Amino acid sequence: MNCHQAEKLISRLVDGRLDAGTAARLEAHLRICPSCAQTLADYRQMQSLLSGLRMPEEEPLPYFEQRLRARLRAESKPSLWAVVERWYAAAVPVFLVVAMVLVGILFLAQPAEVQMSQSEMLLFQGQSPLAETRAIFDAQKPEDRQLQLLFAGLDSQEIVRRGKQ
Amino acid sequence: MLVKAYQNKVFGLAVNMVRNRETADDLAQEIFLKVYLSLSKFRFESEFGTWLYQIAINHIRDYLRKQKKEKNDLRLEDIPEPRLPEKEASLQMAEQQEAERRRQLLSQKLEEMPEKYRLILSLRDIQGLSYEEIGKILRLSPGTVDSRLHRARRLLRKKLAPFLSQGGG
Repeated sequence: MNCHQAEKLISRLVDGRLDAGTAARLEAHLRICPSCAQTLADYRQMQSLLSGLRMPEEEPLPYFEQRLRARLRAESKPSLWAVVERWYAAAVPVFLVVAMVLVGILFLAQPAEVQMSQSEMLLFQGQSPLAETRAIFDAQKPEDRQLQLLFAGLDSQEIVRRGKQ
Repeated sequence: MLVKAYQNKVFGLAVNMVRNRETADDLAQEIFLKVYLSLSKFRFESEFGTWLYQIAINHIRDYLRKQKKEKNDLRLEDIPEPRLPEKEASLQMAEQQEAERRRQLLSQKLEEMPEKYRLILSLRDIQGLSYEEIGKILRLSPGTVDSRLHRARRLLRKKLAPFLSQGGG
């Protein structure tokens, strides 16, 4: 056993935390090492000095319990600020939830966008829905126009025939 | 009431840490207030006494941190010399004064030590708690309690070296 190991064991020895075998080996070292023997003597002296620091009177000052009760009562009485603070703490999440619900309702309750046909859109804008068709129609060659009218006539005859059947 | 059962222990711990009865009394009151207001947080995972000690130690630590200030190194000469015992004064009186002087010196040296060492020495050598109790209170393994205690004692011995061989405590 060297002095470094011995010093650590000395700390345990003064606390009575060494098993018999280790204590015997340490004592054998202490017999031949005056330095470690001095460490043990110092540790014991320190322990004695420290235990002397324990206040002989460990009772707190008079009326400890009564004073404590008064302080407890004062602490338990909620101050105005504490009430406001508590209310505020509870109100913030509630407010957030309510706000979210309201936003959701407003969003969902919005009327669906009215779908207007192109003709309605033109009427809404104050234009004639036939103007564009007419322009296209006018731009076509007269022969094409004739052909279109002819086919349109055939189509209407076909509808009459089917109706008779 | 729990206060009755623990007031002396809490006060004793505080007074041994701050070395002042009025301050210790104040701290003990604050500790019990804290315990009362945190009772709902007590989970029965540890003994009530251990839990209370943890709160007490943390509170005292906070106080000491706030109070921490540079203190001049107290030399033996700085401690008032005991009045020369008059002829009629007993030898016992002189011994008491000498013991008080040593206590003051030791307290001063303890105050100079890092808080973790001062605390563990206070719990073990002043309060007389077991390694296991200290481990529970400070949430340390028994091995850490052992090594920290060893380091604390080595440091204190170094600080007290000039006075230790002056003969017993």
